[in-house]
Amino acid sequence: MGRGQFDDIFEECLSALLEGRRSIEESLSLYPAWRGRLEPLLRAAEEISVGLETTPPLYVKERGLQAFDRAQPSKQPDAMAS
Amino acid sequence: MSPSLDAHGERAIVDAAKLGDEAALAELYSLYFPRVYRYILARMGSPYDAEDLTEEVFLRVLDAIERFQWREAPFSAWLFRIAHNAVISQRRKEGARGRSSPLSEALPVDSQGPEEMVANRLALNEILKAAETLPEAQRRVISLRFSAGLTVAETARAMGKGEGNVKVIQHKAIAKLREMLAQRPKVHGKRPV
Repeated sequence: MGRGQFDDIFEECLSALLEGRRSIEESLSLYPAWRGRLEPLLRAAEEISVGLETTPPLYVKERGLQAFDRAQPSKQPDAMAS
Repeated sequence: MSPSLDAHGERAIVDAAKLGDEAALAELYSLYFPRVYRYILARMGSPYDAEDLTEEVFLRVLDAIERFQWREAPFSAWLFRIAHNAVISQRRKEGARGRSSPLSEALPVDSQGPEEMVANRLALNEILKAAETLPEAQRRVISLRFSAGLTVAETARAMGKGEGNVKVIQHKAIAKLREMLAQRPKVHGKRPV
């Protein structure tokens, strides 16, 4: 199997992992011949995914929403005067 | 696309937002704000930059959404191109001032306890630090796939590359990050990946 085909398999397993459709173990059992190459990459991907998972502070979201709201065309002085 | 919204639902919201519907604009903001924030945090490495630039991205969206065309790209790809341009423009502004500030107390904590909060902040810090050393295209793919939650197809459209190319870049980036994260010292008996 060429590199492109492995990249396709890896992407298929990675998408399933990121979307919560399949665990790493389930993916490895689907592609047993590729366990050795897939497993370390999928474990690293899982760690990266968990590590990058963060929620913006609520005050940031609220502050941004206020600015977004004020900037809407319908809220501009010209629109409000008409 | 947001996992909680199907393509038809998103299309209806975007079309209404293009016409200036306030509720639709607010919904788009709500759907995409966390993903844009995470994307910019992963690209810039600074929560302060992420706060300011995320706000700026949505103001740019407001200004440009009327001109958005479905035939050119999915909405998410269009939005994250705007976010990418905001990142590039911020980096140019920073210029000789050098890299952005390190992660700080400003990082979100939500309902986590202190120990979990510290562990999560360390993990995020380590990954951002490792990602900083990746070539630009690899860092962008990681940010779009992992932080923004785009599919490979959406990532390819956002970057103007083919899907096959994105898969190759993604593979190389994860292999490189794995290598770097594995070099960390062992903490509390936990083995590196």
